[in-house]
Amino acid sequence: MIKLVSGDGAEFEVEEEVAFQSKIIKDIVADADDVIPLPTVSSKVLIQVIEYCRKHAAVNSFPLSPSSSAAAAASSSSSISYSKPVSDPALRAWDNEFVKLNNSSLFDIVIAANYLDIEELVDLVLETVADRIKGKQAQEIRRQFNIENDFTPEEEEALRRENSWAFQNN
Amino acid sequence: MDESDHYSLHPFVIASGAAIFCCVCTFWALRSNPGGVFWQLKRTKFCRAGDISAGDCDGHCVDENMALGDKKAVVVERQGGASMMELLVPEITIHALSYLDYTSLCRLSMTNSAMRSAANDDGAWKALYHKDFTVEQDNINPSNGWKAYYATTKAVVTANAEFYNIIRERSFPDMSQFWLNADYVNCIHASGELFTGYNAVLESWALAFNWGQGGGQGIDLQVRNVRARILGSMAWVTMNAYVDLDMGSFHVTNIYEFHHGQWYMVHHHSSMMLN
Repeated sequence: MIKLVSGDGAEFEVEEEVAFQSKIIKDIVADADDVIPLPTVSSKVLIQVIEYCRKHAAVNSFPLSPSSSAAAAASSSSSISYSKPVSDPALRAWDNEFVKLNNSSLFDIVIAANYLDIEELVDLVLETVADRIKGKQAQEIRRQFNIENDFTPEEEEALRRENSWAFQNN
Repeated sequence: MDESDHYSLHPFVIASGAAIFCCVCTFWALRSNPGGVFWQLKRTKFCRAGDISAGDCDGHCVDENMALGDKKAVVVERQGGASMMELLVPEITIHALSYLDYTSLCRLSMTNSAMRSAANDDGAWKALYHKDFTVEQDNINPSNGWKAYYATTKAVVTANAEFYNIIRERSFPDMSQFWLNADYVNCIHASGELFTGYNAVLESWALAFNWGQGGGQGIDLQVRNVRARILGSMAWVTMNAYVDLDMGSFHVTNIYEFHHGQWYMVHHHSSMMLN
């Protein structure tokens, strides 16, 4: 078991294969001990990240270390052992549920996932954020992400001209 | 008891190492309580443009961190996702942008000045160019940047697609608008015939369209492997064209010049493919 300590001092015990979804934790545990302080990650975010890692560890469990208790990690469906996450429709569906969060929660998670080097989680969140930008007018994007418009009307007009090529239907 | 002592000591030991590091990397120090096994390992990854006061905080680390920390908390509370979006390390932002299409990137660039610089990033547009058009032209250095090159390439590729729509629809008026009215334009049909000058070229298309209509059916025309290269106000496009079933496959080169806001065809060369 590995103990993760959040920035606000909460401690979480997780199985190795769950924690090792984070490449950086894997590297550290190799030459340090098994208490990992994560000062930049709040307990709220860490709970979500662990939830994700637990699910993916269960589905991804490769038979690298027969001694490791994959069964303990597999809280739910573990019938598929070797499939890559993206190609597994059940996991894909689980991921889609997982990212049904507001934008600021997603940003917190992606910062933590980047920090912990959990590549698949970074990809998942950023793709979700991108999907929320796609197909929207500038004004809608501003509203969705609380982006403050700091352009003058003249600048806005220039930007419209400059980018008009991208909005023609072809 | 022993064990809990062990745990409580541990962050302290790490913290002393981290304290030194925080003077180098102020921004990340404010996000973290000192305790950075991680950011010692990952500092290159997490240092970012926001590290403006690096080297400026000798002896003031703690005070400055707290002040900045408070300020950041306020910003986050007020703006929610927005401030977060603008605070993301550049590599995350670039990664996020890689999931966007050109229309979304342009919309995003129009939202505010921070998003404009992020969404106009040259690397993001180069990657999108490679994805949408061709992985060739990796070593070129477009004089106005990759966004402009993407936009021009898109205009040329769109014009080139229009050329084949005109052929499909046998529209002589559109074809006459499509060519540059100049004496140096050339058209080499797959038959091997060469026509030089605007009038001769257009006559050849009129003949081709009339002949085709005798056949009484539309032309099934597929175009693949379109590659466009643009230099200034000139563009050349190569492609493969597949006409109907029995009429064969062709290597095609089209050359365009840009005049009065439009790309005009100045050269068309079609040759039968060797099977």
